[in-house]
Amino acid sequence: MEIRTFDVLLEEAKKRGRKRLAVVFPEEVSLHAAILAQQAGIAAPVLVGPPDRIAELLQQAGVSAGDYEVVPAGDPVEACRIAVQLAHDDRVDVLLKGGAQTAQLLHAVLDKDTGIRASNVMSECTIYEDTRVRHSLLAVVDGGILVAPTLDEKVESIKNTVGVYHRLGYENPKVAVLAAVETITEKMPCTEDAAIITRMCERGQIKGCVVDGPLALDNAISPRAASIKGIGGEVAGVADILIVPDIEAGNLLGKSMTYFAGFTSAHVTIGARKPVLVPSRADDGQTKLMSVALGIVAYY
Amino acid sequence: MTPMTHLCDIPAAVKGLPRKRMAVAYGEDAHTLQAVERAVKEGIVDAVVVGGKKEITVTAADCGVDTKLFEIIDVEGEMPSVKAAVKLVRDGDAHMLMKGLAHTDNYMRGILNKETGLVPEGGLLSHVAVFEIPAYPRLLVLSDAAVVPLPTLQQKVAITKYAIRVANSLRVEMPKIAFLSASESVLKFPSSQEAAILTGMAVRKQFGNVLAEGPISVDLALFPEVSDIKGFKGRVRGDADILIVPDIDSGNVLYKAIVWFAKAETAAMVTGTIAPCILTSRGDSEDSKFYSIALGALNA
Repeated sequence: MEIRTFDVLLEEAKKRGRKRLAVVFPEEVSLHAAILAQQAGIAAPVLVGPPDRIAELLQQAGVSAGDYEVVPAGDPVEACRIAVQLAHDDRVDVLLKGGAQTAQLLHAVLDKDTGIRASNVMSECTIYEDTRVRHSLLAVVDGGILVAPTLDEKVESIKNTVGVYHRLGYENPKVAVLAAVETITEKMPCTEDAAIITRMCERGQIKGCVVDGPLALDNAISPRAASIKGIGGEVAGVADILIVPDIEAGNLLGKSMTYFAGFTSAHVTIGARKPVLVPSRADDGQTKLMSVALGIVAYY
Repeated sequence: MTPMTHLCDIPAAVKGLPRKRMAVAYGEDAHTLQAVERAVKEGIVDAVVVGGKKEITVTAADCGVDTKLFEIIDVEGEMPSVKAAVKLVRDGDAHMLMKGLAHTDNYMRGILNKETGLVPEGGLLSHVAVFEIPAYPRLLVLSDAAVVPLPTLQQKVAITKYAIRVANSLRVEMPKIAFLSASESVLKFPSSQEAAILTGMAVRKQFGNVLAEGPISVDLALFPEVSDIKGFKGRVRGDADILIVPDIDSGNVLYKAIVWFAKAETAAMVTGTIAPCILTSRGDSEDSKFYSIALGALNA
């Protein structure tokens, strides 16, 4: 059964019991996310950082320290190392970035010997609760990590995201490879990539989904727009996953969904053996909570 | 409108049309004159033979060709004859061009000349072959096996468009196009990826009314039983009307394998010009020359 709302996503996360959520060098933003998840009953936080500082933060937040396990670490880099080690040893289930830099955390995650790398490419899966058009969960890939993805990176990010959607109950998610137009021209290399990726899926080189591209955004999510342009196929008008040409497009599309459409979002970094959450200061409480829920349901 | 299935359908169709005028460049040899004689006698074309009048008359007498069947324009020398014949076509005094005794290089040079030649601005000189193969139930169009050595993607687009026009002239309303490669999987070399891109363009109706598949191997393109064995589900499977090859080497090898191993009869012409140009060689059979002239007349 496809999960189409965040309410159901949260319920599904709860069914999986409290997951051990490692917060890597906690500060206000990440601690807020951990507290919300703890209070919603989906996480058992493990705070990796300086015990004194953590105690102070917990007191400021007004929560009971007993609900929060602490693992000492002196600085952000050490916190990254320890948290990834815990994940590596299956002693935590989810990683949540705190005061450590994203690059520091990903470096530890991707380490060949001590890391928890799974896929060749790490990609950001941002999911929007579309309450207006598709009445479903729509993913935008990738508005946060892949700056100028190569063909291979686009393919890997699709595979990462399709894996998440299978776990969200979508058996055969529809993937639209977006461009400004639906025709292919040498002047717009992303349209050529889209044509190649579509054929790769047709040939079974990308499994468990249907891919079509290039598609303009309206062709991807509006059956009316698709039919006016005479675009058939299984994806036009009913896309679940939107693959963008580059980070600018992804970031702009995502933020317009948040601010102009008012859709709630959740985001998780995919490609490691455990979900990695990188909260933004701009994330509100609902986004932080749903991101934890998404990470849990995507992996467990 | 049923598609043509035999090369003899071409002259049959031409006979029902207003007769076209063919200029023959340097028609001083017996092979050429005999081919011209047959085409004129069978009502396929009117001919104007350009070359030394004395030589033409002597050769015709030697091989029993009646010089009253065609007009003669007296020009001495190979290159001047080529130029004069090309000029007839360029000026609209002839609808198509045939290579007589002239060397292919000189013939092509005459056609390609920027000021006086037959290739329009932005055009691409290309070659289209049509096969009647005993083991295949359709006429098979192949391009480009003889002229463009290493076509770029844009050149492949032009090559494909010319081939479609020829297929349409054979009454194939919705040609099935196979963009050939070594494998049907999209692999990391340019010809495979270009085949995927070209297929994408066809799916987006950028080639008009066609069905296309690529990358696709030649066995999947021509033999349905191979698609059955491999479980290949393509828009084209064992029923291609047009084969577009990655480059001239694969094209020429395929062309000759089809002629010699599959015992095919052929018709061929040069495309991308303002009028069809026939490029037969002494090695071609009598019928092949005849069908090539008919193909040119059909497309003139």
